[in-house]
Amino acid sequence: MKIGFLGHNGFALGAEDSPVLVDPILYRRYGEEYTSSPVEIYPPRLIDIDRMPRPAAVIISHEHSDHFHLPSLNKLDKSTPIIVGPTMIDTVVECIESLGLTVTRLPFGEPASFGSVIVTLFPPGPDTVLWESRVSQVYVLDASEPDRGGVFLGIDAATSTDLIDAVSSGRLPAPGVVAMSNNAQVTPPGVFGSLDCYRPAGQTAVRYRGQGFPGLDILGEVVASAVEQSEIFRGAHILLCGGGFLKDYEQMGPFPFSEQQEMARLARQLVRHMDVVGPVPGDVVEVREHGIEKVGELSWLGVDQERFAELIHRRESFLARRDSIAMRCIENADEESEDAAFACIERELTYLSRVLLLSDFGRRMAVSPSAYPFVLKLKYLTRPDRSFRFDLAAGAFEEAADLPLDDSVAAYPEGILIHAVDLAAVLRGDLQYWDVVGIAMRTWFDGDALSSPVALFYDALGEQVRPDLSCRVYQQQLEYLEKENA
Amino acid sequence: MSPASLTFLGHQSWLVEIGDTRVLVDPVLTDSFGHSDRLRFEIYPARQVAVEKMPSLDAVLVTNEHLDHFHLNSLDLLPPETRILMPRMMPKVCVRALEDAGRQVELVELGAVRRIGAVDVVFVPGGPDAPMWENRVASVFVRHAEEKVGGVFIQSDTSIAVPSLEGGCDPDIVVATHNGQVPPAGHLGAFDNMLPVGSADFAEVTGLRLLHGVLSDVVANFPSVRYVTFSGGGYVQVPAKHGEFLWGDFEQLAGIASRLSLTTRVLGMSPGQTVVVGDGAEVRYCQAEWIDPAEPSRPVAPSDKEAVAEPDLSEPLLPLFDEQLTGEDRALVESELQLMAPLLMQANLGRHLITQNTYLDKPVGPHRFAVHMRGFDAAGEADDGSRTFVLNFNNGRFEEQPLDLRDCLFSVPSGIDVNAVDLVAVLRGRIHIWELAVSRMRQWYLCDKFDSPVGFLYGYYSEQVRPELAAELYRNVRALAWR
Repeated sequence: MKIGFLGHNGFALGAEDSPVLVDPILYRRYGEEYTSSPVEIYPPRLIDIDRMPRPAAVIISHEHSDHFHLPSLNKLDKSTPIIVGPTMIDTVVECIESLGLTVTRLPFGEPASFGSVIVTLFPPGPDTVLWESRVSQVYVLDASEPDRGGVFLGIDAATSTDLIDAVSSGRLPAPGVVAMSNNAQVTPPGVFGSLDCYRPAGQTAVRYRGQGFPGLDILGEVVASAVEQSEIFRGAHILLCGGGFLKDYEQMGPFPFSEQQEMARLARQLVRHMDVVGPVPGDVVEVREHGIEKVGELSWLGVDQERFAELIHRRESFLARRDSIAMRCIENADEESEDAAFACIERELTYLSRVLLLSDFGRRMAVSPSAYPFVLKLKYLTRPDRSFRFDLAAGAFEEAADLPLDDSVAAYPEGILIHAVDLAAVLRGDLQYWDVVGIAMRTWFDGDALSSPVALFYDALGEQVRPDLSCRVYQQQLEYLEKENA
Repeated sequence: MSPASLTFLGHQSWLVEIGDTRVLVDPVLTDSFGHSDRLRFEIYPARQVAVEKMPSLDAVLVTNEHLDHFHLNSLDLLPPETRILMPRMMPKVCVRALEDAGRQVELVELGAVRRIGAVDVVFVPGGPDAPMWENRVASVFVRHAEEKVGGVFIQSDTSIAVPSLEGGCDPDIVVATHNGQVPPAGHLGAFDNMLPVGSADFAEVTGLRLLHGVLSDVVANFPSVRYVTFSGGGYVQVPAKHGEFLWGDFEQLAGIASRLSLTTRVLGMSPGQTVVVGDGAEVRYCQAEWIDPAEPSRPVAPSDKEAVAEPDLSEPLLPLFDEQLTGEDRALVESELQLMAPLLMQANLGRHLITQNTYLDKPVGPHRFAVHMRGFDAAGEADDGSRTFVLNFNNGRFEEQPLDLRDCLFSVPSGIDVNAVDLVAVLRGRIHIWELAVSRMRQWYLCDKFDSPVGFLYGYYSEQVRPELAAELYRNVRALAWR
């Protein structure tokens, strides 16, 4: 079976004239319909949408904006079946249907034929983080050789135990290829990443994520841990994908260790009896006797080599200069918008308090010596900043004297600094939380990043539990498309 | 700030020079180490150390008692007035061996700072999880005594821990122990299993896990370290057991690792190479004039990581020694086995075996640990002379049983397969148990590898537990006097 790579986590599987597309982003960027800070797929691509073959079906694995892009789906012929899993949120289905397309929810574990392939969806494994828990993992077999190992797309989740059971019991052949996402988004010193911990200059107590051997950590995760998940992956080859976006770190360029081709080259020297390949957008690969081989290129999508080289060069010189990037404000901040921002934040403070109290973070803090374990520090451009500390005994936020950032870090074990207008935009649904983490925030915490309030809000403000906020950007996308049509 | 210069002598031997003070760590200065002329462990890549041209030393540090660190033949080559420092817990038998040759040994408390010329040295204890036979191993930290910054941290055969020192501990360079010693396909390493049970490790990612493990330990303890280099696994056996270890090429590994970091560079050093770090400038390399690259005494085949082969258990297990066993030897073996029995039953291996009541789908009787000895008796027409002694867990005694190796593997859940004459050599202090285990002994078991028969024997026949055997080894090795 041919595997065409569209970049990031997008694939064109099976017959080249009638492929099944998975998570296609058919624009160079996504998000520009609603934010000044859109995300570009990386390596950068040239796409000739008119030459794209008519897909036999399109599968959307889950709701995140790097997988589900309404403007891309709007490019499809209206008769193209759109396939989603049983746990896809309703708003996504409704939005796709509003484009005139037909959406089918395919039950987990039930094979369905589209064009030259057989697709089976699986629920993610139990170790998956909550914000990825609605991923439908995709297992694709060649319909002409259904007993031969297929392609397993793990997407952003831990491997499905249902898949492991199905293969172990002989109901499905073991995968020949496992596509793993390298979504590490490592940032160099001087660039604050999504789950980084801010410390005042000179304080190095907490290990900074970009220190040491983050590239090796990535390979440990996406190659070694992937294989070690289950015996069913013995004999499978790994296709490194994901990590394929440029966030708005304009000066830095692409994330270090996000060139999957190079990562795979290094990994191959450390593994045996298996192949690790990192395709670039436009590559068509196939499993042959000795591993994964490139067998061709897509006619309608490929790497924009000139921009690719320019971006790599940009990062190299950024690193050589040991440059840094200051915290950004994404929304427009003037007196009027800053006036309006607080009302919007205040409305959600009770919700955020409850989230904190009910979480692992809250349970941890209940036995901590600090009465105020967390502070929300709101940055303003037209007036003084304001701080809201979380009073554990009261179970609520209360306003406290605002301190300079480094003093705040000393006074509170954990905290978030964000522009009031940006937080308000997230809480209104004008931005997604993903759009502001890292670049437009400074966060600090005591323990593991994944149990910090920053990560907690991935869950609390994400599409699944707050579709009222997070899904509003879909409406903005639809409005944008209407305007475009008109 | 004074630069630190670090010279690699091969395997795990290092010369550190800071502010004109020179400290030699775990020196093996000869071509090979090992206690017998029947089995040498030749430093690889091979090199020749011209001891007479070596710069004068302010001290020698020995981090532990194992034969590749505490190497008497090398220490004997040093001028008699050389200061020798060892951790306080070093087995007395090692200290005596040096004192017998008229040397003074300074024992240093773990974690204590000892001033030598311009530098402070510290023996740093490892983490609490080291197996018994490595629990006295200390790493070494050396830095300028006045400046109290930078310095060199040399990991020994233990996990890394950060010493608590005035001004912290922030080395310019960390020497990380890479003791992977991954044999090529078809060969069993010391801890490997004769049973074809799926190991908990996935062989596909052995190399990746190895590199990740070594460097994670460094970064967890020294998050901002700028340079790392590797040591360990730098020997080949003579006579040959197999070609190069897999993922033992430091230069290749260093190249890969450096590409996977933004802040840290891994330097792949070869014996004789010196690096100078810590004066703010980029690292500088030079070649020590007193260490010359040499040809190995036997060709060392490169190993193919992609090769696929299963160990051939029917291949003969040639003995290292060729003497016929005497009646005294046989009596020694039998009495040693009986002495070992209660200790084996108390060890994790025994605790595991007493709960293992089925094996290959059959109930397990009282016989749960076998010692299959080849050439125990003279070979006859229908008898190759092999004998098997099996530990009866219901009476705590080894009993001779009429089982050949195949019978053993199919009916006894754990055991070792060894030439009787080689086992006698261990019991008489001619070779160390490690030398036998890595070369001509095989084992089978169904528990964690550190609890395996070899793991037990490493502890039981260690210098700590059997100092009289170590003393005999040291007497014998001095008599060899080969270089």
